[in-house]
Amino acid sequence: MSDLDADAVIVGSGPGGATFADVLTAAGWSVIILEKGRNHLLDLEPPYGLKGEFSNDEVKFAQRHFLGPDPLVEPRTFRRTEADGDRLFTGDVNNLPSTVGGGGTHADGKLPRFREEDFGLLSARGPVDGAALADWPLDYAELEPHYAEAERLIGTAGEAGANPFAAWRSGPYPMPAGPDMFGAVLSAEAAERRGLHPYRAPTGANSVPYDGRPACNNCGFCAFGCPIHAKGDPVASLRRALLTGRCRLQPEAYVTDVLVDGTGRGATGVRYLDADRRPQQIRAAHIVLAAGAFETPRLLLRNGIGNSSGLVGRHLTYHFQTFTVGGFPFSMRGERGRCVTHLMDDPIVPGPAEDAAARAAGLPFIRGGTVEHGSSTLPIQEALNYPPGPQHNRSMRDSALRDRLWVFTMQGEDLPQPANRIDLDPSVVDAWGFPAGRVTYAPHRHELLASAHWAPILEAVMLDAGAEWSFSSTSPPMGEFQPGLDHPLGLAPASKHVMGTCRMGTDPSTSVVGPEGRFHDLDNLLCADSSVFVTAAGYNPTLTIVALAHRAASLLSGSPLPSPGTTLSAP
Amino acid sequence: MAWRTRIEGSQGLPEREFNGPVVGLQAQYADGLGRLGDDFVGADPEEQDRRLATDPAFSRLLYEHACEGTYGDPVYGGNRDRAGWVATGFAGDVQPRGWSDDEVRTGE
Repeated sequence: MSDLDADAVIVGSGPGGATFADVLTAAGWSVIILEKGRNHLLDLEPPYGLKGEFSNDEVKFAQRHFLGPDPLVEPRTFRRTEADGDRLFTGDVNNLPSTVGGGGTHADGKLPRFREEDFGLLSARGPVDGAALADWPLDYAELEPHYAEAERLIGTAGEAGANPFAAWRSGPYPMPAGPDMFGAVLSAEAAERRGLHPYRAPTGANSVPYDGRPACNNCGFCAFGCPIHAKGDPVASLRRALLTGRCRLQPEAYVTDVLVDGTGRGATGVRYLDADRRPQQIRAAHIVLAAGAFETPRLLLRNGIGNSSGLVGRHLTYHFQTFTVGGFPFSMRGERGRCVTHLMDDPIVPGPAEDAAARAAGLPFIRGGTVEHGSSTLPIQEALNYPPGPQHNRSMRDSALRDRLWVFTMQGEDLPQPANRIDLDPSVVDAWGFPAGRVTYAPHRHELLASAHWAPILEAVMLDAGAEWSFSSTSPPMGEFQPGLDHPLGLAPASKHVMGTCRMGTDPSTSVVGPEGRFHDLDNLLCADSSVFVTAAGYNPTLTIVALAHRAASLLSGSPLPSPGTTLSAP
Repeated sequence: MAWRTRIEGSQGLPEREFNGPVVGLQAQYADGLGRLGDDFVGADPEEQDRRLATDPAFSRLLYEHACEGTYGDPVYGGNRDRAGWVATGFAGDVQPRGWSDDEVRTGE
């Protein structure tokens, strides 16, 4: 061990990497976390106080890329299929924050679990022509204790039993649900009148003081980073790891290479460029990739490792998002509260109407996704949706597209397809001179059908709730692409839920990572992000990322696995 | 580096031109204002609209920055006395007080 810098080096400080560090340091391991982005989250010296750099400032966060990545420095490219040529677009493609805390800083902290069926969709309902459906190599029962731990470690508020479609749970949520948003009460009541099943969303925002952090005070802009650190994801895990004294967190460290030994079977460390672009090296017994489902395959493809299956970067999934908006005759108070306080999972569990629609289209099933009851809160964004001219001031005062707007967002299940992938752009590079990641993505017709089926149902709910008008749009857009025509949300999926690019499985010829999170090709290289997802389900991925990372890190370090029914208390 | 490049342009510097030259905001404004003409401010509104319509790319840039200046945080020098927020009923950043649970639920 003497020539090693640490027991483990972790690439990426988002929810997956932070959880891995939390578990390993608790087991006595030494850990170095390398983060490409800057640090705005917490002091990196004892006592690791929480910084106050987050604020509800639309210019800073939405217009100026404060949390990174800046698309000028780190461009990504997009095309729908190879027929589009090398690329259709260069810039921001599903950019999640590149910063200490990763995607957890941006997320508004909705933390649903997947359902039992999500881990075995092929067996339960498949196959589907044109889709590479597969079962996960683990089931819900194996993951349940880790879901419970993830909820406890992050700090999750919710209401057990409120969602009739939820998977079984071994215990209650660590905190009760926070206050219902005004608009969500209206839309949830309307949804119930129409036979749907809205429920109080499990969120990572504290409803009561928890783990030394305050209760959320409902300021309304979770996506900019929490100004008071009432959102536990993943600041709680990072701070706990640092406080052990066995963890070092290095921001502005751009990992260029995973170093491999002469046998090709073992990783020995990583090489990275520091903030001054000087090459540095860290040697560690284990290397954990937690850079997200976009950057993890990009690194592997650049290095040419871990890819004997040829599947690194493939089976890229998002969520196919359907946005049903409603215009109300009064203010919806959408900027008060924790962004989304209600979800409903009816589209995830097909009923007779969905089965009939699927049969008519020659598909075995259609599944949408969880539906978020939410709002629109950004005045600059609203202003840019209106044209300039004499009507501008009146439009802004009436605020039909912000203050009086309510929005259902359905996170529709996106079926994995081999042709949907992340690879290296042949000519666009980043500021370090490395090839940009490129997305090739087109939805399966399953997603289009599920969206078209659910949109009118959601519009009817919106009108029942009191909206004067309602319509739906999707991301990526439906219909034929017309060159020169701007789509407001762009051609690429706007979803920040990126998954599937290092698929998990037991067979090294059909998967990249094994069920314990280890790469098939390299014994001591592991993955702790949503790259390993086998299917996308219709749920926000963060809690499942954390649960999988918790399981992989516990197995690696020999930490006792939590058993179902463990008494829950703040860590 | 990103913002210096975006504002100043790449200026032929290799470290800023990894994907080719970048025209900075300073040059875009100098050129765009030049095309609108020295007498733009004194021109009547119809004439101003006509000239803006001939330069859609610069007009879009002006509009985006005007919206940021009007509805963005006053800390940047625009939206003076929160005029853009008062006119539109936007509360702005409510930290550290936040909203009470009752204000969230009732909208009152």
